[in-house]
Amino acid sequence: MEKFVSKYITFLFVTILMLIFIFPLIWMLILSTNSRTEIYSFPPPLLPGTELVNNFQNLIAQIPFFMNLWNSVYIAVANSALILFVCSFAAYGFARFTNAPGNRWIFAMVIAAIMIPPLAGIIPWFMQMRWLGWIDTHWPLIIPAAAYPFGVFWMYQYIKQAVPNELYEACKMDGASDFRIYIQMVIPLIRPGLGALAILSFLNSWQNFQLPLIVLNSTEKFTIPLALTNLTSQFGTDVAGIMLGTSISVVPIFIAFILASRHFIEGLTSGSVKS
Amino acid sequence: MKVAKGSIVYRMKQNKMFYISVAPFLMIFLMFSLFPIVASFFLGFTKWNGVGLPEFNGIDNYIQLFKDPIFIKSIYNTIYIWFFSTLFTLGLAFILAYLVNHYIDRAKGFFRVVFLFPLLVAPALTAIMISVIFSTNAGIVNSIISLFTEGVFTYEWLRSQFWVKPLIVLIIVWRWTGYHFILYIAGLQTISKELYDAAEIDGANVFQKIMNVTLPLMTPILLVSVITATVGGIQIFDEPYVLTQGTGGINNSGVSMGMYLYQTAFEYFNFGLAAAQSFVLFLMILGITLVNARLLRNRT
Repeated sequence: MEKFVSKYITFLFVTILMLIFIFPLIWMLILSTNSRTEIYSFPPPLLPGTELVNNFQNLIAQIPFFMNLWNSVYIAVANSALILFVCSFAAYGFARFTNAPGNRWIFAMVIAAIMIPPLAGIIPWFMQMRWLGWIDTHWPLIIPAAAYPFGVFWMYQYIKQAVPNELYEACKMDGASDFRIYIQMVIPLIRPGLGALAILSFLNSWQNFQLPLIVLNSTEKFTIPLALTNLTSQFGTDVAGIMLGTSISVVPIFIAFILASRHFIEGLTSGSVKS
Repeated sequence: MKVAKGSIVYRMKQNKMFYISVAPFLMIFLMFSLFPIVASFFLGFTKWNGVGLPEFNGIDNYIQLFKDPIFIKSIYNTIYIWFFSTLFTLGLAFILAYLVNHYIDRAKGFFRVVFLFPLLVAPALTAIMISVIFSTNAGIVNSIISLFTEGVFTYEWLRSQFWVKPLIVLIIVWRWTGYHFILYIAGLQTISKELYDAAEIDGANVFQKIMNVTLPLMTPILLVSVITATVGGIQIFDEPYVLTQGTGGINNSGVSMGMYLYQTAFEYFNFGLAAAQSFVLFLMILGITLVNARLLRNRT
């Protein structure tokens, strides 16, 4: 009986806490469907309203929303694709050619680099971008982040565990080149690891705010977080529009997360699973 | 030239593919990660407005920084935000994980998924959401308080010098609790039930069990979790920037080190000073991480 009661109370407690946690998200959806007057009236609206279409028209009248959405999508896809290739290819080198002079100490440098905070070199980084003529372009958000030390470490562990050494020898005997071994044998074997890294790097890029803020100047070049935060300062308080824009940028991610929660959890927590 | 078998050059030739495969990574890494950090260290000893050549001025930047009350305030704010957000996030995540692991049999997967939702929202956008929830005239928080007060309650949370930092802490706790919760659940599941049973036979209560069984076995995971929270917390930028609309709050009450660095460089164009700031930030993260690692290791 006592066990039953404590179970019941705990379940209730955790459920209430969960409701508090998802409240802001539900509140965001409610506000994005209500008109400005409804939002500012007292008591505030607690149910979905009927102004969704109207709010959306207001939103696209103020910022090039579709453009911003497209920028976010293609930058995140391009950056993630580059990370997957660069990191898994390097990891293949580290994992397979253990005899190569320099392997050990270059790998040690990669591990040490995981701990380096990105802000540490931000000033010279910005100067480089200016010198390359990359200010107000999307290159700074795609190319530099491709060298993701954690990605190399993560893929290295995956390759070590998924690809036995004998397999390389067997392929070599069959006359396959080293590059073909990477493309045709290693990549298919490490697909789950690549998936987790893809999710992690996509979200990193999708949520990035500071670097776009530093390098982008024109509204058409903005990514979604930058465009929406700019809306706050520029037009005072179009609460409905901002909430609608935020909803549009997170709802697809929520759906993807629910459909593939196992992979998302692996991807998001991969940063902490260090053996 | 004939290369002797076993020599370094021979081994390098044998492993040509190694150098090809790490080349793309190394080139991007050396150019855009390592070089800026080294350059930043040297830039910290110069005066430079971004045009022309940097001018060497010794440790002037560092002297100026530690005489600057706003810089000192940004350090205080950053440590405040880091400390309380880490404490509350990790504490709440641990309690949740313990309760779910020990008392809840069904819907564990469901809770894991739902508590992770906030992490999928960009930090800048969560800051917008919190500022809407706490806004003066349309905020649900003021509306709820209004139910209990006479007239309409219109407290200006976002203009309060006291509340800016707790609101930033709230954003971090909301976003990150689910993440640490999942880490702890995974850790707790590896602790065998027999250890708890043995402690129970010895007459240990719940808190003694947590102190003597759970925490020591969870140390490696706690370490990872503290370090993750620290590296993120010290560099915090998006949340204070968006919450204060880039101003840093009334009287700089919400300015973080990352944000002050941004202002120094991109609003005042004092790049040498900003580089010195980023170096201080770097040392702080390094220091706190090493101390954390040592403290947690000593306890086991």
